[in-house]
Amino acid sequence: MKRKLKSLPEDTVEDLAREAMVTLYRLSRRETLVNPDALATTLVPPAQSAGKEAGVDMLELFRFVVLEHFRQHDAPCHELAIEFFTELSWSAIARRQQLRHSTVIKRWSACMEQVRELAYAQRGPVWEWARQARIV
Amino acid sequence: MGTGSASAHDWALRQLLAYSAGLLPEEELLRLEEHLHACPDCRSRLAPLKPASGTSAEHLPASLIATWARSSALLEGLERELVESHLEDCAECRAELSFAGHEAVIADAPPDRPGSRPARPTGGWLHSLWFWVIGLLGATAGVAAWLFAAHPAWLGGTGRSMTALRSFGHAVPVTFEFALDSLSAGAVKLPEPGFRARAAKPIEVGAVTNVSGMVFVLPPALQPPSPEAGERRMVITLLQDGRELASHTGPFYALGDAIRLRPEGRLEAGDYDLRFSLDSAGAPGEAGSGEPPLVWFYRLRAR
Repeated sequence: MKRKLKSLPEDTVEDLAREAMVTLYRLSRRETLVNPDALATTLVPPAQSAGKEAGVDMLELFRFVVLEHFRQHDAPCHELAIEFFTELSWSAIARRQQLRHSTVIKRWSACMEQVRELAYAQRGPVWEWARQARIV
Repeated sequence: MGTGSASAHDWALRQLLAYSAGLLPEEELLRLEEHLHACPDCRSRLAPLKPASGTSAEHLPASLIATWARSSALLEGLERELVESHLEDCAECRAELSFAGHEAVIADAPPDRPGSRPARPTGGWLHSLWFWVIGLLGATAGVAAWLFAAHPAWLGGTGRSMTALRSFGHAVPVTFEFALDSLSAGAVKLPEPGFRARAAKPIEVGAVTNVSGMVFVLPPALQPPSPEAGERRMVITLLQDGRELASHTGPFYALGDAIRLRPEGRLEAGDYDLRFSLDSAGAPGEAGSGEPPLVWFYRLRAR
């Protein structure tokens, strides 16, 4: 990884290598890793792009915080959010749930309003990032 | 917004981040998904925004775990509570933290952060929070106030400006150039503000001379979202060890896509901070709305 990421600062490479190790560990606990070396290699391109686009980290953290909020406070929104954050396609979710595309989107809109309210009321880097990125 | 396919494509590209965060307004969702269906380029750009295969957004991001000691210290308010409560419930995340060599305890907030401030039910915290969150690393609100007091000039709309510097006791001119072609040779793309954009992660700018200068392509966060925002005052400051070396004041819109800082001679090797400070919504030169400026910091490393 260090060889492939040599254009990035050393401490960034260190973070990305650690992140890849955590991902490998995470995957190994969920399924048997047949070829961890090859898997590590496949983690390099995403890490490379993460090094260039720091916002991706915040996007992951943002999704986590949103999901955790819904997990604790709103089960229907939590279910929709899990599906969307995994697949990133409302049309695919609508097909699977055998609902109209617009119906699923309307349901999510009510959830989204909660997130927007949080983003404008709360402090901290996650909400700040969302405001800065002008996605709320 | 144009209706041609090129402008529709540009529009779609700009919506991908909001879409992937689940925050695209209802009326735009249908339109974007229609476009995605027909646009392989947009689908390929969306793909990296999906969680890695086999991982789930329900657990702490691997990037947070990997940088836990310093990143968790930045969490505040509700997000801190949510991470904390998740850790209590999630043995998997605790095990992953342990694997990465961390205790499953959120690090204390940095001592210079105003952690006791309550959240306000408006977007007004944006400015002051970013000031702390982006790291500031040594800057204080007093410095911000001093910078504004020291640079009240409104240079409105000029593409270049000369600024007298205070470097090692000698006045040295530096030219600020704006609205450059973002494809300029040697341009460095500044990242969006985020954990990796903190000063702890210097951006290598190589050798900086009066020939090359430093060219920075600005991220969307450093581009005005509206004409009104474009009229707000932006102060760009180059600092070394907390000392101001150069500063430029002008309207936000004048920055364009890319800027260049060109020193008169060669910039001494070492670390520098590039600070962007955007006025609150008040009119230029006025006391403003009472909100502190919105501040971005980047740490630069020159050879």
